[in-house]
Amino acid sequence: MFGIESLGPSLQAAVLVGVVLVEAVVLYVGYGGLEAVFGPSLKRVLQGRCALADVVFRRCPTAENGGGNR
Amino acid sequence: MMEIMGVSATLLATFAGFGLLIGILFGFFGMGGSFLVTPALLVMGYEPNVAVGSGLAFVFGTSVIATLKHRDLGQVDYKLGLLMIAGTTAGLEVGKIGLEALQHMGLADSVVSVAYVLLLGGIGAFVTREALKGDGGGLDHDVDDVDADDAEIPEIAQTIQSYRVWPMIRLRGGYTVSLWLILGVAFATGLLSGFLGVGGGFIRMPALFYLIGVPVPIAVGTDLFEIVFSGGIGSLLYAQSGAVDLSIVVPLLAGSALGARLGAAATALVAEEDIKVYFGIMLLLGALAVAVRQIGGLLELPVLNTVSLAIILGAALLVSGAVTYSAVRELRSVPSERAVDVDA
Repeated sequence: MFGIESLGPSLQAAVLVGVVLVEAVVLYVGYGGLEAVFGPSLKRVLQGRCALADVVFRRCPTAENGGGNR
Repeated sequence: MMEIMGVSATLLATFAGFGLLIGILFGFFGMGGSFLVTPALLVMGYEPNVAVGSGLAFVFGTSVIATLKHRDLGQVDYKLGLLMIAGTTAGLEVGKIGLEALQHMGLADSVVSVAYVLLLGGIGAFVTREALKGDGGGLDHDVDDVDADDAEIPEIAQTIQSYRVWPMIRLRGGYTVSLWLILGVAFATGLLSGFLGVGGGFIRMPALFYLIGVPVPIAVGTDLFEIVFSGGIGSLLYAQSGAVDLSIVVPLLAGSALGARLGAAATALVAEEDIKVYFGIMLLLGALAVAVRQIGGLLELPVLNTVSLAIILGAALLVSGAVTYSAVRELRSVPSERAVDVDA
């Protein structure tokens, strides 16, 4: 997988750990971004204040005043 | 069957789903990666070195993500972390020597299993008892909301802190502790880790809180910081012998990173006493699983190995399900009050 089998053992080990490290940082940043974008809407769905369809079609207000302050 | 980079999509989805489950527990309790992954990989038919190596690489990745989050929240004490690494490394070496001596005598498996059951069960029973007492003396895992400076120091830690042996070290939170106490606790937890062959988060985190008096959010963050180093070095060593399989680690990490966010968010919603009880139940069921596996070995009944794994996976599913259910129930119970907090 990932085509690193041809490398020497030490270099391959370093690349493997590097891949895990990079994936971890990318996931941290990526999921953080997703949480910032979709987190408030998801919370409203879980609270029962909006239906999932309303969120998908952007009919769910994102703040108490209906999103006017954004 | 659809394949992605030469690996079955079903297998990748299975690992990602399993990672999500583990991530919820990791995010919620700040620990619990390796003791779930390695046994599961063994039962799936992977070689022991691949199960351990890939489990270590997974723990390394998860601890990097969790440490980044705790760093953002100011919950990592780097000075304490580096001292703990020094003490733990020495303890690990001595623990390994002890284990090798037991292996020569042919007693390693039995002694390690009994010690593991007693330790896991003992900590689980202690935490559950403290939680059921309901006097605030137990673990408090609300990592996002607790002000470390105002956190309550357990009585045992207060007594230990009263012994002022030079040199004294000032830690995050403004209190001072003897350097020897830190190194002693680190050495003891490293000794147990080396002896039991486990990561040691379930030993070190309560030890930091109950013995040194480190507030739980900082204990969790600092413990994770230490795991970045131990997991990184461990996975590098295993990777040199080709024992780290990225087709296992990559999907597991993708699932667990998402689960860890959900678990961490749940800590802000679920009542503290419930968190402590869940934590205690996890450890007690873990102890039961190890005991069943050991009995299976003694009676030569391989089926008990599968029963042991079923207990571990069942416990993970049960506790992560209970955590998710409690969090959603809390969210739905007072939507208007919570909404203000959420938007703030």
